[in-house]
Amino acid sequence: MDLTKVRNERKLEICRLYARAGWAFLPLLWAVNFVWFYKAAFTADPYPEQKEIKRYVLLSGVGALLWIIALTIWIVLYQTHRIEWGDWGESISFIIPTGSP
Amino acid sequence: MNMGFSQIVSYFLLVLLLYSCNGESQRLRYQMYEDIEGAYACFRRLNGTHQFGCSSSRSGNVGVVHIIENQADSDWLVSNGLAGPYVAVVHPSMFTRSLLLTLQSSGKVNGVVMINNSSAEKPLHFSHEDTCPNRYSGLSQLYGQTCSVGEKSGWNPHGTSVLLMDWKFPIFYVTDKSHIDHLYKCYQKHNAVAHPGEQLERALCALELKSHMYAAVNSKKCMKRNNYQTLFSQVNSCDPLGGRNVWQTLFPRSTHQLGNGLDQRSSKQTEANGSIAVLAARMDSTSMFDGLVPASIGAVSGIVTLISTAQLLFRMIPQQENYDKNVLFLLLAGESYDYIGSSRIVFDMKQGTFPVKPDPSVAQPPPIGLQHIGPFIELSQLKKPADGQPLYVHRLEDSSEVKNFIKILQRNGNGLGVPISDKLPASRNLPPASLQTFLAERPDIPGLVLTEHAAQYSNNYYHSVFDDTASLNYIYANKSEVPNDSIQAYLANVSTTIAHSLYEHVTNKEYLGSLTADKNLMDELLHCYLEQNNCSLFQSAVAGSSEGEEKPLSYYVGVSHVYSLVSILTGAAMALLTGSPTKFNETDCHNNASTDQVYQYIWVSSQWNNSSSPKVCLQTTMNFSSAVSPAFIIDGYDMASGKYSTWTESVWPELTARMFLKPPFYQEVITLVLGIVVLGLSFAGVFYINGRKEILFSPGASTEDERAPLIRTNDQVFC
Repeated sequence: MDLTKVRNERKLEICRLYARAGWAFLPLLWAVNFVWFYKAAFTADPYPEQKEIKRYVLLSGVGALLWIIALTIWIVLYQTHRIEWGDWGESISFIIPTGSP
Repeated sequence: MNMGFSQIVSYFLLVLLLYSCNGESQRLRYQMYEDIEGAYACFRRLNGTHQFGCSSSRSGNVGVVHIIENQADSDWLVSNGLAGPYVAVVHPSMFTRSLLLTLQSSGKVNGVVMINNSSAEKPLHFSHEDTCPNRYSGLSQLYGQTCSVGEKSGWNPHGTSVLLMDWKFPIFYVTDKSHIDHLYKCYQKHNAVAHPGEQLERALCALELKSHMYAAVNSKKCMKRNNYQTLFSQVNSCDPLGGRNVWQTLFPRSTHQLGNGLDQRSSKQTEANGSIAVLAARMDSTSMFDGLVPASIGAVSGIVTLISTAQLLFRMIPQQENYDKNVLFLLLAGESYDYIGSSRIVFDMKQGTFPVKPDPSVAQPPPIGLQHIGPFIELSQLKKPADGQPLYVHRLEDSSEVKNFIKILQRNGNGLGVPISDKLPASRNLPPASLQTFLAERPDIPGLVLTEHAAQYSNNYYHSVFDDTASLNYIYANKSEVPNDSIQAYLANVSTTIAHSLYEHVTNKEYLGSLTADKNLMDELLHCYLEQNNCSLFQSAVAGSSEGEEKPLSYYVGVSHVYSLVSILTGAAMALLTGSPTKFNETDCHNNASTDQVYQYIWVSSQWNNSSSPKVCLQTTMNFSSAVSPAFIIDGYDMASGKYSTWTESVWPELTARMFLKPPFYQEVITLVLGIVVLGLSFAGVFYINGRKEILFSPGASTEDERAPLIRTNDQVFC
């Protein structure tokens, strides 16, 4: 969808929907929302809905960032310590590598 | 130069088109790779604490072929090789522990292939087993490690323990002559160079070895992983080793009289302690490679001698006679891996569930306990000794019972040209044998092990791919006269000796009849076990069902949920040669486990040497018992405790080897760079076209029908 061709009220609706849906453990949705509406929120000529869109875009951006940080820490921890964790490490694994510890 | 670009392209396309239309053309894959069929692979086994054997990476290990025929070749590879990683191709004589370790530590080797065409000479010795096979089990449970033979280091003097190491690369064994020739030709044409640097500029002959193993670390871990099956990983990573033991008693044993004329022999209900003599042999062996475990001396000599002894004993003792003593024939599976079969029998005996779980409502053999075992005679590694040399009896016990039995054996053996020498009990030192498992639980069992070695093994190929027909000096007589100096005649005499001695033990009187073991039966048995497992005896025993192929059997025990051909055929052969004929026809010839667990009924040919002879229903006491280690039966067993065998075998998706020409490094770089350049160009092209789409694509389109096709006719395309 080309955002430049969408009415401002519709923009706000979509942005709000994405920001709210992101709470359902969907960080990627937040990330998309942030990138997609960044221009509409910060660089476009002012329009009435912009303030609210700005708020949702910021929320999505910060949320996505927090997720990225948390996931990175977890992935590094898991990848480096899974073998040490032994049985517990295996029990939380979805795919266990074949042929290695 | 005078060809235009479009002409070149169309020429190229034409060639491609012709090539793909050519009826004889093959898939590109077949033109690039030569599959090495019939290659045997080393795989991974695990016990409670470690992993052993080999594994490749998930997608296979690739290496440039380097043939190692002597030390210089190996040195060249380790110090000069530049085009690595390599796959070292070695002859059996070079396939040593030290070479493998050197290759592994060099870091330049991605795999090893052992090649051997049958015309090549066998190395003088080749055994990858430990110097003390089953070092940590058997009597070691009772006395700590006991393996030392006099001043020497162990029973298996040439043992290198290569089987008991964890190799970082795949190892394959290739025996097919044409593949070996291709490998040599390819190597000499492409890889043989004067200076190591030259290899960098050439296309090189390479091998890809795929033997990825799913299991890792140890049996405990992989058995646990078998239980963590999620949506995305539903394959087992390992399976316990094991199979089935074959057992049979000379006299039927039953809790109830069956009556109805079903008892062909009078059955026994109660037994005194020490009244069941055991004649045992192991049924399995091992080697480094999947599907190639010949075990001529290691297992076959014992199996055939036991079967022939059983057949003779059944002929010697008339059907209606009855005695207080009995004989239990045991053929054990999985003994190469810390005595799986015997340890399960001992475990079951202690539980009171050997041979079957007691059930008062059914006629079944009453439980046999360790206390019932009278003399225990184990046949282990028999072959024809040098002229005048004896067989040896090894024992720990010095009781009068043992000594008496040995005297009987010696007397009977002397008359048959089988001198038997009694090795006086050395301190807690018995060769590796199933008897050890029994002794560890009940040390006063009057047990003896009959072998052809006085101290260390004379079999230089113990647990290897070379323990084959040649090491027994066997030549098939095929129904003609069996020479008296042959291995068949010798093993038949050993059978006669044992059968006569057991007769004397059971009946308390010397055997005065003239029956001896049939040399032709021995000849056929050896032929079946060593050369052709669809021989007429096995065909008779399985009544023409499709078991067996025209090749030697492989004696590896395998995983417990697959019944190995060796135990199926051995059980059938025992039943065929010792069973009593009944009047049942084919439809009535089946077991009724709900009422009668004493007998099995099998439909077989009436003559063992003629599989097309009329069929008959035999009644037999032959049966199978589970040979799965108690470690996998006991709930919450501590896999690291070392009490029972914990061996498992990894699961693998495929074992394949293929040969191909690997382009030189610079060509690989050019291909990659070219690919990246093309990718970049196409991105640039799309970007360029996208930016000018209004100019390039039908300028008036937006004012006319948007859905109108851009190309209407051929004319418009070219106009």
